[in-house]
Amino acid sequence: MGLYLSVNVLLLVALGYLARKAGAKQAALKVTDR
Amino acid sequence: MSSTAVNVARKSSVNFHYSWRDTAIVLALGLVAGLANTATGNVWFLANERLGPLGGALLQGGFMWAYILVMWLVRKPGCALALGVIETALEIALGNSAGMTTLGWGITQGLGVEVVLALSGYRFDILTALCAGAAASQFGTTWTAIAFGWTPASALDVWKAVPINLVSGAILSGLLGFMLAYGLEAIAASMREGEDQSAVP
Repeated sequence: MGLYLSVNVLLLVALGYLARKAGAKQAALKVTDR
Repeated sequence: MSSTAVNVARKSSVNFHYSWRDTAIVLALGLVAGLANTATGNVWFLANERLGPLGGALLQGGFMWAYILVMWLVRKPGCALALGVIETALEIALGNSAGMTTLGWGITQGLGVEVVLALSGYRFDILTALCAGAAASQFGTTWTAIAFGWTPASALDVWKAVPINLVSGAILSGLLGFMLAYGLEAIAASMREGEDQSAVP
């Protein structure tokens, strides 16, 4: 159970950072478009 | 991109101040979600009992659309967690067979949305909605594993259910919640436009 809980917490953090990184990339692309 | 789309996708700063309107939205959506999830919960229990973690995972994503919707409408930290507590409290009152355990799902699912939004820097775009839906779906399942005494060390299905949970949450909660928020903002914008036009002599 410990491993399962750890994997789930890591997944949660990874998804948060994915949203952050992808959002930042999109914003940078929009600036380049201008 | 229309002004409504810009509104839905805009990045907003963190603001903890809840207005009466915000509180009313959280409360109303919590009650609607509690009613809807009571019905979905009965189907989920059946799927989980018949097919195990894989069956539950297929429907797990269908519980958090209101968590995404409220976060995209209110845009304040804590609103998804508050909605989770309200909606699961109503589920308990309506006789969810899991009893007080139900509250654990509201807290874990709400935390899933809150953590992803906080880490994303409160970006309200579609990718964040998909990630938040997926995270809430899987993080809620950790509570299922604890409450139902699953044994991930020996049950392979618990691990196989992870990608199904993520996809189910991303689509049934992330995409659906985002589309509902987008639709509601579009309706509100057109109503405001109509009011403005009728006010012109």
